[in-house]
Amino acid sequence: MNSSAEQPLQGTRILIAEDDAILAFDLGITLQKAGAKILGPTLTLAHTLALAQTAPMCAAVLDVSLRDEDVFPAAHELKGRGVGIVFYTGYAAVEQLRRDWPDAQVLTKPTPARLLVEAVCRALRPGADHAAAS
Amino acid sequence: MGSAYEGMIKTAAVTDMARGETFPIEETTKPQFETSFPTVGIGASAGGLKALQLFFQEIPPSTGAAYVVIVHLEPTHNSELAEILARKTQMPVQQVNQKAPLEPNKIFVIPPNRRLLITDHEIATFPFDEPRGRRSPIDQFFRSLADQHGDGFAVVLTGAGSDGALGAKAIKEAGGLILVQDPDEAEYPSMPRSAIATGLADVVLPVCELARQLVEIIKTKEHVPAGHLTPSDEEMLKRILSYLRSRTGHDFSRYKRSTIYRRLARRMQVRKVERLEEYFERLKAKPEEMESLFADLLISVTTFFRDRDAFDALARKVIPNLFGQDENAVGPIRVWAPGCASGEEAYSLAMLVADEAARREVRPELQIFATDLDANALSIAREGRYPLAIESDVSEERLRKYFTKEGDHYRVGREIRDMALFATHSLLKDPPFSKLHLISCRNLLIYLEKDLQDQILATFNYALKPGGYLFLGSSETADSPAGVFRVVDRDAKIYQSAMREGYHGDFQSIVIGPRSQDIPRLLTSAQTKQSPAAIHQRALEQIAPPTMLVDANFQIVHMSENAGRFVQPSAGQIRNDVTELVRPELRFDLRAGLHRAFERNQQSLSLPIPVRFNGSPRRVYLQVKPTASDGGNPRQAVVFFIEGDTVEETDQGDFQSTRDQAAVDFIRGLKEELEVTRSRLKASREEFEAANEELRASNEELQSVNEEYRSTAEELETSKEELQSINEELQTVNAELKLKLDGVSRANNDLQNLMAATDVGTLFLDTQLRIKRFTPKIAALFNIKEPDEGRSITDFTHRLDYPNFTADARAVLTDLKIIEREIESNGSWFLTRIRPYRTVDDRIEGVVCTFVDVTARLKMEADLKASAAHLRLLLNELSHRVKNTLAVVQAMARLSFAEDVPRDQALELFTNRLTALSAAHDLLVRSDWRGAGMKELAEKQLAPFEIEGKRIEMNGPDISLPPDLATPLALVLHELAANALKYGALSSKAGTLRLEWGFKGDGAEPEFQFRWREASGPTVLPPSKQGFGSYLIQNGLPEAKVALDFDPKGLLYTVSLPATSVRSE
Repeated sequence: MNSSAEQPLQGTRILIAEDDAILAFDLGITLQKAGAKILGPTLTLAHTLALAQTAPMCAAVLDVSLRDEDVFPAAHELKGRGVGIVFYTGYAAVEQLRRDWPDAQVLTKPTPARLLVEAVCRALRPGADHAAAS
Repeated sequence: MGSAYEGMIKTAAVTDMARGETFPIEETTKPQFETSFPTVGIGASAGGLKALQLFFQEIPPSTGAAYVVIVHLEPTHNSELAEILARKTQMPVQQVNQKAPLEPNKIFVIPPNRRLLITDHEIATFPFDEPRGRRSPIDQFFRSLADQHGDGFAVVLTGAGSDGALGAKAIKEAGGLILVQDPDEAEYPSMPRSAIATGLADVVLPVCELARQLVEIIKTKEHVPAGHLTPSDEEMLKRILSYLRSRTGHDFSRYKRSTIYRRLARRMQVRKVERLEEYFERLKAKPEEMESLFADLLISVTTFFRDRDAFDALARKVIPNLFGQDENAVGPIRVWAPGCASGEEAYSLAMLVADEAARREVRPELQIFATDLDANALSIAREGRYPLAIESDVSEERLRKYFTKEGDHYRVGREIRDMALFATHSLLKDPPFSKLHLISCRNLLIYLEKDLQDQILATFNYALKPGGYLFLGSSETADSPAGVFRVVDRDAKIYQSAMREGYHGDFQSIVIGPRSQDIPRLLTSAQTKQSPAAIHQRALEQIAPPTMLVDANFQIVHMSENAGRFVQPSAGQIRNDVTELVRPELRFDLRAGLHRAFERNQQSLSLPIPVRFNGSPRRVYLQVKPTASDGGNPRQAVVFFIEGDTVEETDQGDFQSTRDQAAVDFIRGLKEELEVTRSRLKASREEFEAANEELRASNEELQSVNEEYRSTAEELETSKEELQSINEELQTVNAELKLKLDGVSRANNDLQNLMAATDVGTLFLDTQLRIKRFTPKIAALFNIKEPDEGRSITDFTHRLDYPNFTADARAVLTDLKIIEREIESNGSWFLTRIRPYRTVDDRIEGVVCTFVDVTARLKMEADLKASAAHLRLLLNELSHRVKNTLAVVQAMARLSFAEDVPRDQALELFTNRLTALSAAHDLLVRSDWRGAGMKELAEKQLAPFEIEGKRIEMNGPDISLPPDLATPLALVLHELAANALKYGALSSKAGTLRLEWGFKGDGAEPEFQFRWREASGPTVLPPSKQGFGSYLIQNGLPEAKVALDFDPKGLLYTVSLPATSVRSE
């Protein structure tokens, strides 16, 4: 396995907030394959918020709705900390989401693994310090 | 008398009707086959059967007459008339089917659908020429009887219509007798009435008496010498005629004897008188008989267009010429029809001219002078009313054009009547008309003797314009004064005056009556030669007594040389009055004499008057003679002064004797009185004349007033007709209005019902916003009731949240724009619409407000909006779920194929997992995604793995799992079962599986616990590697505490969850 080409996320810590076990597992596997270390996955807002406030991470992949609760409080935390955000959502109001979160990446379910990894990569870039941090 | 005449004698001799030697026999009309027995034609129609039975009951079997019965029969039915009559009479009765010889004492009956005519000595049947309904068999038979036999009998009995009337006239003209049933007795009086209306009926009686009368007349007829006159009869006839002339002024002495006698004989029959002497006595005794005789003598019967061929020729050859060549210059056309009788001939002529005028499209002035002696006939003519039977003489077209039908009569139309002028006029006595274009004098000359005919033809010639036409009857000619008339059409008897323009002949020579006497002419011119007459004249002048010529005003016209000595004017103003100029002694006597001369046309000679000339008084006689000047009226008188002897002194002394003197004075006094009286008389006379003048003027005025009345009457007639037509129009209009009224009332009913039925509150207001009408729904919105109609709507409160209602209504009235608002009222919403009230003729007469309850609609609209939003939400949710599910599927696919197993195995794994997921979704969909039963979920997942009966046990309460839990649990169960089949209890036959679930613990945090326990299977070994399945089993359930015990006896899998996450609400 050669590193940088197939594992673009080598050395990154990525938070996954996803209440569906299967999806969470799949996301984790996909990002792990790209070289990332996985934080979570968190199933509830409370858990996500707790990690978002404190846990060191490079980026976060957030399901918008966690057990009927919006993930946005956690997202605000993350944004405040300068963590790149990838929204991964099944809801249709994608345009609204993009307007509200211009810096965030927005993906709709389902999404191919490659697009997910690319999105996470883009989310990492503004915070150029993530490489340095890691 | 030619050979034709000889033949007539023969016929006459054979028929025992030979005329006497006394009169030359002249032929009158057509040759007649006279029989030795009389023929009685009996006409009857409706009601006739009974009348005929009564009639023949009264007729004895041997009257010697032949009877012919004519009735109107139904054309298609056999008639039993003959049989019926046979029962009432002993005479033989025969229905004439083809021909039958005429025999006395026999009754002949008409067959159905045929007409009977007499030909020669036979009765024959002929088919009808006319259509049914216009047939007049009675008239036709009577006419044939008149033509062939002359003096027949016509009996007219009951019947409708007027058949028989015209035929009876023909019989009467031919010398027959007319007997008519009394209309009061007749069942149908119309036929008898028509016959009587001709004025020719001789006898009118009830049918039984009529029959008896007939029998007697027939009996008398045998004794009346028909056509045979002895010299004494001739003498008697002359006496009768001169008696007639003295009473009526008409001289029949130069009428043909045969005609006169035949008509006289008929009167004698009617009066049942056998001898002329007796009849003369009766005539003298009864003035009405004289009138009857006079009327009978005048009878001339005519019909419309009598001798149609002749009239056709007239129309063709004469009438067009009357109009002249220049169509614009048509002057008055003057036609004279002398002897017009009841006017048919005059009207026929008028119709011919009218036809021609219509053809030329001009309206000429036409004057037809129709004259006759018979005033009765003239009154019929003026009336212009003729029986329906004229249909056989007048064409249908002319009937339509010129006649109007009035009941059972035709009346000549006004246009034609106005053309004819009817007047009483004697062709023989009165001066003729003049400057005529046409004279139509038919069948009149035949009644007159030859010299009278010639005279009349000369009169006609005088009366006609040069080239004028003369139209005579079929047996008359105008040949005899040769060269006077030229023949135009010999058959039609049309002649033309041969006179040249400007020559009128010598009327003087043709004026009938006493010629004017030669007036003795006075010798006025003096002879120049000394003839004995001149000597005589001069001697007269010298010797004759002095004379004066005085006119009617007593003025001296001339006086003789020697009259001067009788003139001695009185003192004072000189007047030319002769009575003032002569000597005073002469004055009284002169005045008396002049009066006598001028007033009484008598001459007078006075008593001797002593006049004292120079001393000695002399006797003077005054003779006054009126001159016979022209006209016979003495306008002048000659006064002779005849001088007598001197009066002797002795005589004078005698005179002066007191007695004589007293007498003379007395006479003188009387004379003076007379004079005064005369002048008074003169004054009265003048007054009388003035009064007379005035009367005459008044008369004139009255006549003009009368004229005005007449024209007013005509106008009234016209107005009446107009009114009638207006009335009809009004009736039509009324009917239409009635229909419209029905329509309106129906519309009103509809409106009432609509108002009552409609849910739409409707309020009609007028321009002042007063209530006109409203529907019951309005009462719920406004506080108005039925009696409030007419009051202003502003007087009432309403329950609408609409403060601007009246303002809006006024705005609609001014802007004519519809205003629509939704208005709330006590929780209900009304769509209020105010629109102008337009009448059908587009006037604005107020506003109409409608209130439609839209509460339900509004609610529904809101509901619809909500459900649309809900639907949107659902769709978003669905999209979310589908995307989530697809993401799960994607994840499952990725994870299944990522494991280190062969590709086909990976596919099977994936497919099985997909099936498990689908089964879980099935359950959730069944509950509308609210949850899935625990037991069902488990059964569903284990069903594919269940082998040989009850190796699987389940135990747990019936609980429902929320969707968040149900889906991953289904997948977990699937993985557990798949592992059990592969490696665990389900892989061997002895292995069992037990599933348990329930709530555990209590207090603050109760738990839901699910346990999967395998037993009796192969020995359990922990798995060598962690795959997706293992991950799922351990991490698939959120918030769950999972315990996996790889007990070698059997796998035990336990899951604990907070009870809150399981207990779905």
